[in-house]
Amino acid sequence: MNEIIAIAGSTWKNVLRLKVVYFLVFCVWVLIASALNYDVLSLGLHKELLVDASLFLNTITGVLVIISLTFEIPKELKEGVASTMLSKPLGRTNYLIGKMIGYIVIGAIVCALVAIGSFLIFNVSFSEPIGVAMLQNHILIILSLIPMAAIAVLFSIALPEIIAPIVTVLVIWFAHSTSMLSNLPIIYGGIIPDLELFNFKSEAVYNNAVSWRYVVMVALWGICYAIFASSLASLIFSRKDIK
Amino acid sequence: MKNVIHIIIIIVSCLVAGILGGKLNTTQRELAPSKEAISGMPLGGFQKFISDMEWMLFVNYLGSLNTVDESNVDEVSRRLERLMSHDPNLGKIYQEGALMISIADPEKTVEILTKACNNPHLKSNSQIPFYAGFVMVQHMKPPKYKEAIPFFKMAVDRSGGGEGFNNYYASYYYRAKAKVWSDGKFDDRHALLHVLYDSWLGDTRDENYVGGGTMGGDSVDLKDRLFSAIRNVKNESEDYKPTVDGNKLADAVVQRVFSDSHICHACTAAYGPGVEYCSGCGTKLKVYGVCQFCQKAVLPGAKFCTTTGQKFPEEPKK
Repeated sequence: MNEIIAIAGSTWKNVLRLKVVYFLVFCVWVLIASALNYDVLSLGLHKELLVDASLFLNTITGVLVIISLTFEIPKELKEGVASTMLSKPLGRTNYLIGKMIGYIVIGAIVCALVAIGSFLIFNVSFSEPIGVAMLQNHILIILSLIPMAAIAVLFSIALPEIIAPIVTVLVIWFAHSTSMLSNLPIIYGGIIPDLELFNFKSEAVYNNAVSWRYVVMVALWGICYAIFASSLASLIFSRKDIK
Repeated sequence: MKNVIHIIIIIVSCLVAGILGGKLNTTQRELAPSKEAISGMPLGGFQKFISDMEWMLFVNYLGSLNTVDESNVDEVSRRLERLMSHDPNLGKIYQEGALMISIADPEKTVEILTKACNNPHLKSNSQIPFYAGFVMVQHMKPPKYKEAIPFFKMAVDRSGGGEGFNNYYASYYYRAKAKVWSDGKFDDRHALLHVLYDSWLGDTRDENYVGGGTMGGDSVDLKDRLFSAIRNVKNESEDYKPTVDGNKLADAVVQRVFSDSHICHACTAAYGPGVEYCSGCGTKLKVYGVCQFCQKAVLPGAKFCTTTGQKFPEEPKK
């Protein structure tokens, strides 16, 4: 457990120490605020556009953080970082879980910063409190990082360095359109990820909140799926030769 | 042994995630029913954002057109349908977008607006069903009055008695009903009076007959409409001459609906206490508000006659 915390801690500290991360967060805020300029072109829908842009950009931010995980693991393995730990019996599993948690924390912090910024922009621009639906959706975006990080870990272990990020992006992209497979019990949701469960962006724009129970349940699904994907990744990783 | 534990964890987590995912999918459909109507195109869950972009491009495109006619109506319709497939809940698609094609392609407009009327997210929007009915009676050739009635009724019901809109919707509702009832056999004024009277009779039997609440039989709105319709039927104008049937109906309505309203049965002019003949048409009136002893007018609610000093008998308590 200590190993996992140590790996996760060093991962998030290394990334969150970079000033470029905060510069990118600032750029995202500017982009969100730019939605205010579209009041004429959207025929007065700029408030909805601002909410939607904040959710869209926060999702993109989260995905980018997760994608960086698919670059990090192969790079570390190639460079022989943590090679001592990887030689221990439980070392490989701990390494993967540590990396996954580390990137979930990074994603959660960055996405939370984007969300807080968008709340402030909304509040200052329209002089009204943010809707519960908007808050819930930003929370759902942060929660969606859990299964996405597990997917990234799985592909970064199972696939070559160059292909892994591309496949991860494609899987995350298509995992939002798998509901047509919902008549495949267990496989759908169990093996095929359904990231659309985290998507209530349209409802957030119209301020239709969902129940908090649903948010908790979907977080549980994310954790279960993350356990499945990371266990599979660990199984593959345990059989892999590392030079 | 380590691998066995791994495999057990994989199987168990897969089963739990599968069961939970299936249930959550069902819950999500209940929480967001409009997701069913959204296109299955793999857009990474960004359908709403793409719809916003498409909306602005649509507005921009409309700005580049002088008018929407046969030459570009298909393109406008195509863009509208694409918008609807990404975000069927966006009210502006219907309220502003669909109306752009209402002259060039009223059938398509009604088709789009009907979809919006059936969208549970827009169930409180009264303008959309009104526009659907409006396009049917104003832009379709021949006008589809019968088909428009349910839309006007929906608009009235959805407006919930709000000031302004409700009256407007109700006017169209009654006029469409009048057109259907008359079927070209009666003039519009007569038909409207008939429909309003029928509604009043229906309302007095059943308060939910038409709209209920604000449009109920004893409502000021319906009585005002009836009064106005009576005047229209009875009064001659440049393009209208009162008919015998119309007058008969108007008299019947006055006697039934306005028997205690002190208006002249012949010309609908109001009269005061003690007045014997109508100032508008000279018709003999049913006198009210006079002392039974001296036949002079008395103030409403007076207990004694101001001329003779006689005490009036008290009205029986209800």
